[in-house]
Amino acid sequence: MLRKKSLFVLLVLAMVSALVITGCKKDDQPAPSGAALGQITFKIVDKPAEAVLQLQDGTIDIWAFNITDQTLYETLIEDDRLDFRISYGSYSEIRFNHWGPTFEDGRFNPFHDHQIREAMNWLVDRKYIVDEYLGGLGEPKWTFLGKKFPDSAIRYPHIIAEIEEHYAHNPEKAKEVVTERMGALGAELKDGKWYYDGQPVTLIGLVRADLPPYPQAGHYFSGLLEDLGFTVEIKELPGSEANPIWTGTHPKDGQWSFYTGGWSSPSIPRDSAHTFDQFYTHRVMPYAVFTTLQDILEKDFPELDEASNRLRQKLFSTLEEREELFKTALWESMKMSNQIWICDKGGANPFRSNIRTAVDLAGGIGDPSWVFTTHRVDENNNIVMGANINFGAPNLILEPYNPVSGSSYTYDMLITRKALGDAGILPDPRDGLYHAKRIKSAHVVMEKGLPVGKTHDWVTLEFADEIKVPEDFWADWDAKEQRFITVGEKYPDGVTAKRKSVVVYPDDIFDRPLHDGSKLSVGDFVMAMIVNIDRGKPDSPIFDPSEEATVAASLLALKGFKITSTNPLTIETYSDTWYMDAEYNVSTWWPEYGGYAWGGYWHMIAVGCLAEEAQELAFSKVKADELSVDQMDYTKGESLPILKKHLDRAAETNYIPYAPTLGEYITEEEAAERWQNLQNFYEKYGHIWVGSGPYILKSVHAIEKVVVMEAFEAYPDPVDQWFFLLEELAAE
Amino acid sequence: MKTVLKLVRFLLTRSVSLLITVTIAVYLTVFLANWGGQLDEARRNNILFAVTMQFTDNPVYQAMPREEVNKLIQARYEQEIKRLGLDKPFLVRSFIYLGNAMTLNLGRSEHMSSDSGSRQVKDVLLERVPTTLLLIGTTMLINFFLSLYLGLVLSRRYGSLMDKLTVALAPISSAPAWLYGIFLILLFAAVLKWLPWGGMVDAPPPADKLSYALSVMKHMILPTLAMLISTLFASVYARRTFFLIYSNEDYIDLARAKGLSPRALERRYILRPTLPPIVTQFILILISMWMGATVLETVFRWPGVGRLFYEAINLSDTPVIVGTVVIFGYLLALSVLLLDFVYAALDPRVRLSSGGAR
Repeated sequence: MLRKKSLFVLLVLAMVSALVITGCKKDDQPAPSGAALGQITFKIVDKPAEAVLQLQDGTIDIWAFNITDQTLYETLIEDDRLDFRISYGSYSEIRFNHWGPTFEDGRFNPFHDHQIREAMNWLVDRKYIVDEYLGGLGEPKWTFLGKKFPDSAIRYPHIIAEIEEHYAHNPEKAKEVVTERMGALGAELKDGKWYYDGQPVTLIGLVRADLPPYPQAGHYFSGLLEDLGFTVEIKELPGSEANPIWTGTHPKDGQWSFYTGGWSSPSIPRDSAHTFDQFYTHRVMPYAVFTTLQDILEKDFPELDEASNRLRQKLFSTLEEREELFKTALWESMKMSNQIWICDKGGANPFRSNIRTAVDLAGGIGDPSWVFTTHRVDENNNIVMGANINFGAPNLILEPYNPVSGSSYTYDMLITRKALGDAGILPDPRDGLYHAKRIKSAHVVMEKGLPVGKTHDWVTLEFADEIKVPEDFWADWDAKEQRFITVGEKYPDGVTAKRKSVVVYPDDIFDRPLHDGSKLSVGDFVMAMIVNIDRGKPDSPIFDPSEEATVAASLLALKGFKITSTNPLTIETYSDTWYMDAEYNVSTWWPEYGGYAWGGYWHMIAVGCLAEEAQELAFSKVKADELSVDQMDYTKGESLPILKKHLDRAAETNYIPYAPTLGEYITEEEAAERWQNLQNFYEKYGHIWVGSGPYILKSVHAIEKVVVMEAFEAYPDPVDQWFFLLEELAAE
Repeated sequence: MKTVLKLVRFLLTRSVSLLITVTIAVYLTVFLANWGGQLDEARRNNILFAVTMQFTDNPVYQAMPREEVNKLIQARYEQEIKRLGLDKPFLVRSFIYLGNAMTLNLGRSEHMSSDSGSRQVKDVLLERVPTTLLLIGTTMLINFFLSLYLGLVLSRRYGSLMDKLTVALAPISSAPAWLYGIFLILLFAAVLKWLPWGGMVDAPPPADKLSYALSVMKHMILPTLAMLISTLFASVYARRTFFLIYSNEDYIDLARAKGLSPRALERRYILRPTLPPIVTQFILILISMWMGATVLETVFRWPGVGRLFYEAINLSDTPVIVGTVVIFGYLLALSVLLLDFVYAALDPRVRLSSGGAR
């Protein structure tokens, strides 16, 4: 009996153990590697209502734009087949003409008085605007800082809260201030209307007709002004007609008294310090409405002027000092109120409920968030590997696709950037902070006194009294001799930098496959270093006049860089450009090109360079116009035969670009293999855009405006590596 | 020989007068597309804003003295102004646009590129012409033969229920095709889900040619139907009316009395004399379709010249706008010239003289 019992217990134990082991096994099973999706088809869906209907019937799975229409938003909430995430990338303002007391034609302008402008903060009920005109899709705001973004939500919520409390909706106070100031300025209130020199005080409201919550909120605001006794004339215009008035005319002309407009922020600003200068001073924006602010700043707001200037130039050495500057600038800007802020506008980014995709808090569904997170799930919430999905976008294929200076339209870059090219680092769509993607570790040394902090473990941070740049590091590029100019040559007396970054890449970095079967090599890194500088050098055959200023400015800040080891690949950088986040101070040097960081690999880029050198095609629009040739397209059209011609020639001669320098990094064997692989790739896909990202560009249908991508089978990363970006960010 | 010379002289005179009309139309377009030059100011502002933000957002410039950055902004701004030709006064540019346009030297676009990557306006436009011709040509052919057939049928059954229905439905042709397009999309794409919302082909496009052609045909159904609804009933009504008028002529009665079969009667004595007004109406519908293509193609996302024109307006790409109008202008002028020619050839009552048609 005992034996039987023991046997039974053992059996149960064995079963439980088996279950536990099986369960553990299941949990421990590594996620498959590769791309989550099998095929992605991009097509145009340009109307929000149509997008929602197509999402409902499954014609598309994701729409790469956001819904702001109230009815459609309600549909998204109510329909089980649909899901969405809100992004806050744009915000609304009311701007005042500060000229006065009178315009050139003698009309009185009450908004020349900063106390009257300030009173508008109490007059406007921001919550009413958000609820009534945006259907609740937004957040009332008092400062330009995005309510969800780091400076407002993480660093200084206490300052923002104090400002919001002080300037809470209080129409009685607004009326009191306006009445007192108008009287003091010599205006008279007769039968509820303000008069100045016997004339009614008339305000011209330039109200945007095409920018919710305007025009409705513009009419609401003018109603409030009428109630205060002003006579208001509304000009309701689209942006194309309103912008030339408020930016193109001098404030003294008095063509407008207030303008209802907006701004946008396509990515999460980690540091908004420099933006004070843009909105509140004469130093950044080149229009008279801004340049004439100088007198006001000097006379009435010198503290704001100084704080803003220091914030832009980062002339502070501790976080406490920065906070003080922010506090001054924020409070003083509220008093100055050459514009008042109304709300952050929300937009619902829609997708089907069986789709998971990360949505950037500012930019919505976009690159690179979607690339590494989008997947389909089954009814048990398990990933469906290799699912085909359809992506709707408001427009596509607007300009030629090339990886150096091609189409930079948002929807085109959904396709051409990280999905094809992969990435060294990945910005978190929830807070904008960088994660290491193709970096093993990074070490950052900052000049002592700079307020820099770190968040993630992949980066280490230390401070030094002085950061000297080694003499043998590269500081510039000699386009004639095709060699790097060393720090010793450029700065004979030596040079220091504000930061140093040392990046160590994973041990298997050179095992990373490219779409054409090649392996990533050190040549890819060096080629990107060269081409990004060479294009701005007048002596270069690929010199592009539109790049000259940016390259020159970059080289002023970039003091030195060098590949210090190839096993493991280690790149050291010295620079004067710095950021408050240590993660942002890591110079990744991932092979990326142009202002939008398209991924590119040395052989495919070399083919384009050869075509540009031959003056048959050009990477940029500016250069193409200058040469009267077509802008290069790596994926379709008349460019392809030209590029193919240069590819074949390069293959015949086993061409190594920039041989005096790259010859040290690229062997003859590697070159031969690369050219062969690229030719094979062209034969298979009919284009030469080779990437290393999770998706291969399968076909671009120019007339039909359809782009198809397919999974890159050899993509080595675990499929769920970045799925944590789908979760809510834990509050810290 | 004399007749041929007269015909040539007539065609030349008409061509010159049409050329003058097209020239005026193109210049007006250049003028209006640029708001009489006022758009220059708006464009300069937009360029300055874009360049300023480009420099302001780039961290490498943030630590630079602002005066230096502003100099760089100014230099880049002037570079862009020069690239777009905005450094020349609008009046000068307007005549350059006109001269280039009339000689079909359409130049380079400012922003748009052809789908094959070219920035030559000629390429940008020509690439889209076949798709527009496919859509409008198909519709016109269906309209022509269907309305001819139905017109004859109804003229034989004057006063029947079908005739009355056609007369009653004729006014619906007063609404533009795109309006019907929206209703058709709602019904067949949104509600019934039988047909696609728009576009030219399924996404992804089928690989084999037959499937591709079938897919294009499927996508053509709704826009073609929209154009037919907007034109067919009026066409049928007009033809049926012409046939009825000509059916009551004395020579028809005589022919009928002589025992001619109804088919022969229709072919020889009714169709022939009614051809000039039928052709006139056909060409007029063709012209109205050219003009309506912009909105219709936009509604159906049909990648033709009309949608291109809409996109060019949105981007203020003057060379493409002017180029499109020139192409439309020439097509219209050719249509009118063809009409004159056909009219002269078909209608014996139209005689040629040195002064042109009478």
